[in-house]
Amino acid sequence: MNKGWFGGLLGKGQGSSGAGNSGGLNVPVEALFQKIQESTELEGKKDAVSQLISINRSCHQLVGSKMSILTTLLSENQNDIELVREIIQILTLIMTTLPKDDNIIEIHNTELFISSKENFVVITDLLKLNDYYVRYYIARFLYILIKNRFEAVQQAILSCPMSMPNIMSLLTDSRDMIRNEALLIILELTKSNQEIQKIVAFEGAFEIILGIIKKEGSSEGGVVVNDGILILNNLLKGNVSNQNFFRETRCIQELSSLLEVQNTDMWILSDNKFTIIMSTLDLILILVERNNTSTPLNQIVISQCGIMNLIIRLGLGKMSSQVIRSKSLYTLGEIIHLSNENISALSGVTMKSEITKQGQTALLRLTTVMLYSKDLIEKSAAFHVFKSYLYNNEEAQMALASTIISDSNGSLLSSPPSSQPQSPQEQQQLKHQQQLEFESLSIGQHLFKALFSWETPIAGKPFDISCFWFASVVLLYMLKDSVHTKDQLLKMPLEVPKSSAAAEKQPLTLFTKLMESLLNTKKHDIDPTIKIGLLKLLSVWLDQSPNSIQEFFKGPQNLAFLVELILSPSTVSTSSTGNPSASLQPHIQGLAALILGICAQYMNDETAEQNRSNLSSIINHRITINIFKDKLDTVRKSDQFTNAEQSEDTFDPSSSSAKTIVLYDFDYTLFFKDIYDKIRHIGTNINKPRPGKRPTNNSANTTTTTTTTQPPSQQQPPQTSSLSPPVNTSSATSSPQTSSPAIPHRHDHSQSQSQTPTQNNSQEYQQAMSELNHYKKANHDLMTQLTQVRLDSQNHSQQQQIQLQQLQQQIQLLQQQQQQQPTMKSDEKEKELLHLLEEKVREVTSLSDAVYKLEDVLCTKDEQIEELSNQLEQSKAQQQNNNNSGGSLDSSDYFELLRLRQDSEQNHSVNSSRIQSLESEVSQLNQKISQLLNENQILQQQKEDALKKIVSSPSSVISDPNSLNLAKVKGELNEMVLKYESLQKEQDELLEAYSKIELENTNLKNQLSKLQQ
Amino acid sequence: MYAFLFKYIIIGDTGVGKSCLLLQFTDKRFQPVHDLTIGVEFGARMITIDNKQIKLQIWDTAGQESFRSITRSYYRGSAGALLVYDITRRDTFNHLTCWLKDARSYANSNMTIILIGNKSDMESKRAVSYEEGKQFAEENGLIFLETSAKTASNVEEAFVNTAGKIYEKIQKGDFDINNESFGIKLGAPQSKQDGQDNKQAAGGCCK
Repeated sequence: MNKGWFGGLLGKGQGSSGAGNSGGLNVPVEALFQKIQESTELEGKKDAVSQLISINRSCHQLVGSKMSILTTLLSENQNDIELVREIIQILTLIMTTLPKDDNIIEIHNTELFISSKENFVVITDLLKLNDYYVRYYIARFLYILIKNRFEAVQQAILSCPMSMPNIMSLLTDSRDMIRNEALLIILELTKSNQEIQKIVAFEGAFEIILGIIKKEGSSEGGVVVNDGILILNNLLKGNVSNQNFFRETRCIQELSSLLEVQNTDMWILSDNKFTIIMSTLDLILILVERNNTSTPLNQIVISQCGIMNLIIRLGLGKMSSQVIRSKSLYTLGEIIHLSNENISALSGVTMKSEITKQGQTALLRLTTVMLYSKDLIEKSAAFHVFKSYLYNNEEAQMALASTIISDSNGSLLSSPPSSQPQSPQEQQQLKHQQQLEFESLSIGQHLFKALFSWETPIAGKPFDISCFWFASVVLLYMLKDSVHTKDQLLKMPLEVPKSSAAAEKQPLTLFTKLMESLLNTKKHDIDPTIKIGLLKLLSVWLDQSPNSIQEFFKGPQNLAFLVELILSPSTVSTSSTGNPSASLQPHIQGLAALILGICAQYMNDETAEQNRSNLSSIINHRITINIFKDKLDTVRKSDQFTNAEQSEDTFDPSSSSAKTIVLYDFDYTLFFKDIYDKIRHIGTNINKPRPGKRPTNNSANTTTTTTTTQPPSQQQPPQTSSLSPPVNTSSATSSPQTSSPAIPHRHDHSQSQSQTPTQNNSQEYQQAMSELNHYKKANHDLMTQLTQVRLDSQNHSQQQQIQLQQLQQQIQLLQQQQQQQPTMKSDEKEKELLHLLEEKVREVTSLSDAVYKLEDVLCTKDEQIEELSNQLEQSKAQQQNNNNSGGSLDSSDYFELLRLRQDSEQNHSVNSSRIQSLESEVSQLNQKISQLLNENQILQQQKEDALKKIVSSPSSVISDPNSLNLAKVKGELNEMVLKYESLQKEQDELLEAYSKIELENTNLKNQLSKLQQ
Repeated sequence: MYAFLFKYIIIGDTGVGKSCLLLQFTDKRFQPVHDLTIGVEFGARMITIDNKQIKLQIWDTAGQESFRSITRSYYRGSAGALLVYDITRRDTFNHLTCWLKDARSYANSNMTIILIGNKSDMESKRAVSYEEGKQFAEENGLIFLETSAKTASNVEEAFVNTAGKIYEKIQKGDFDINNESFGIKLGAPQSKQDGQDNKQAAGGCCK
């Protein structure tokens, strides 16, 4: 209480500016309240209240503690306008917070006030008075209450059914000051509570606010209009009931006036108008929010009432504000998302071209914006429209795909004419010509040119990585999930054949062109983003499309290229720190691995017959399953990926997408994860465990191992997969149910034997065990040898592959040289060269085939080794078991044991001879492989020589010596072909040898199982 | 577009079929399993009375006690209320007095209330007789109908009869047509003529 007095004095010292400055410094708060309470006359009370208005900030706590005196006075004298005004003013004063203060007292006063439901009823009831100041002061007071204790006010409103109509009446007040305060109150009040939003809507807020917006001049208006739009946003955001109400009362139509712009606005837009348009676009986005039940109906209304067209003009028109253009485009994407009606409406929109002054479709305009805008946000917003346009819409996908084919006059594949120094006039003409040509391109042609712009520059445009990038992702969504589009593009030639001669050649399709360019990325030191774009496109193309996968395997180098990408050392890239492209290497590898996985998952039987074992052996052995999965995991764990999987595309000019290319979008992360899950499944199937581990598909073996852990009396013959009851084994001599008679018979005997323990017996078993150990060791040696062979062979095959690649490059070089001298070539030479080339290509193909065959053989061998080692393990386990039981042997049948030993010895001798022969086979194999390698090297040498000769022959002069040279080369090549054939023969022999070894191995296996018994 | 716009509110205990009645009226379909209504949901339909297009805006409320205070905010601005009980559940009938008391204290005095005994298709499980319902309605001055949201029996009538009654009151001049707090609004210009006529008629009546 003293504090109040002190506060007053302190206030004086600081020269604080209270409301009523002069008299307010020494307000006797206590005395005044006493006067209010004790006065019998209303005038006396009013006099005291008037003096209280002059309090300064330090009295807030004291006045707050006496608040009930004021509120009671208020509720008892609701018709005394003067008193009401003053009490509201005092209440406002003690709850007004200041930005720099801690405001604890003011917040506490608010809580004190709102905690009494009666207070709130009185205050809102007072709004029925028509007095300007009462209404204005209460509006201000309510705003302060909401600002201080938002949720408490919401609850108070919900519990006082009459409060909302009274508050809403402020909105329709003819006095602007009061109405504007009301706008602020409603704006705050409708921020989060759906029920309040619904009540406000029920009280007619939509109509009232649209009326205010109209009265204030719609898009020409100012901050009041924007406040109105913001309230609409609050009322509609995520509120289906209100959205239905909004649409049903035809309010969406009213929004179009907010998006109308004058011609002058194109150049300079006022700040107010800019804000209004941006807020209205937000409002449209709220109405077409994804996964909202009211969205489909809202979308149709938005399109039908012309708002979509207005937004198209804003997005693709001459609007100078790039932010508005971008946001309009993004909004357009949401308006058409999953709405077939709106997609077809968009397809029909045409606009006037700035260059030709003729009509062009909005989609074509959109394409040029996406590819050639200078702003990344605008580009990605345009892409967003394309994505919505193509998403889940096969009709649009196929229609777009069909525009890629070039017409008769324009050529997609030709490079621009080399620009020679020209006169300005000519340059002007050329530029105009280029522009006209540019304008005549279809959407598909634009995309095609952009996709390969890093190889073949687009006339008049400098290379831009984002231009390439958005072309690649649009094509990706053009193909995604549409088998028909994929098949259509596989067949469709890029160009209509100009002559019959050209028609005979295999026509270039987008797929072959894509693969060709992808392989070309090896040669150039290009931006890794390009590789990522192309690989992403390829992954979606191959997904669920066996036909495309078949086409992929037709290219002899395609598979090798991917494997090489995956296996290329990533240490090189990490060492070059500071190079941003180095960090992209894991993405390239992961995507290449993804593509291999897609191939394995979706290839058809025909392709599988030729390639599956090949592919799985590559994944299992060349790459190894761990590295394969590691590559995929690295992508999934990368920042780029985890950022993208957070949420669907949003419009956020401040996000990173505004500055750099974003590698993945939400939908692609879904696609990636989907494939990832499927491949993981494949992985376990094709991943045969390493030696020493048990193959899961061998059921007989599995049974044996499980039984070895059982007591000996329960041991079953391996051929019977189910456990028979012990009764069965006790009558051991007769084993009628077994399918394989001899072995189980012996097995049973050994069991009956094991039940009669003697010292002798245990010795016999120890001996048998040592024999087995010996055998195991021999096998182990064999295994290491085989592993060695496999490693060698792998090296060889890698070398061969490298050689093959070199050859390929040389061939390409040759091709280029041929292209460089097209005019001077005689038909004859061309033919010869072509012939030569074909031969070389064939050779390369067969060489790579041979490599793969070798690898296959090795793979088989590997499996055999595994089986062998399994056998070994089993016999070991068996032996141990026998040994364990040996301690308690019952020697009732000593002869049986002897027989067993003899058999075992026999087996062993046979086995060791087999092992020796196997070893010799292996060494032979080794020799042959090295021979093969030598031959290959010689072949390579010869080929290089031949190439040198071809290259060195002077191309400018076509004369007799030249053709002589050619003949010589041809002869040499023939020789090479012959040599190659013999090489292949040898390889066949090698294969035969391998099959022999395999047979031997099978025998060996049988022997082993016998021994094991 | 329309001559008049009437605002309705549907009230009654939880599970009596309020949302199903609205769905049957607006979409002409029945949904046997309906999510619990949270707060209030909105629906709308156009009907014709006396050759005049009348737009009905209907707020379907949650019957649960916890939403009762929210529901009360909707009484005042409504021209008509559908008070629904379930003829197979006696307790929903017993609670009618309570609902009626709420409606009388928060709504404007001119609000037209129709009592609806829903689920009339489940005759075998009936717990409240038609006569009882009718008697309660007469005692409290309500219109009465038994309906089935499932078979659509009497659903149309329930909404249309209420509108007819409100229209009658307008004709008699019981409302100040320009005060929207009664839940009645005049429609587009061509029908405004009618509205103004009515207003003049109403004015004449009062004076």
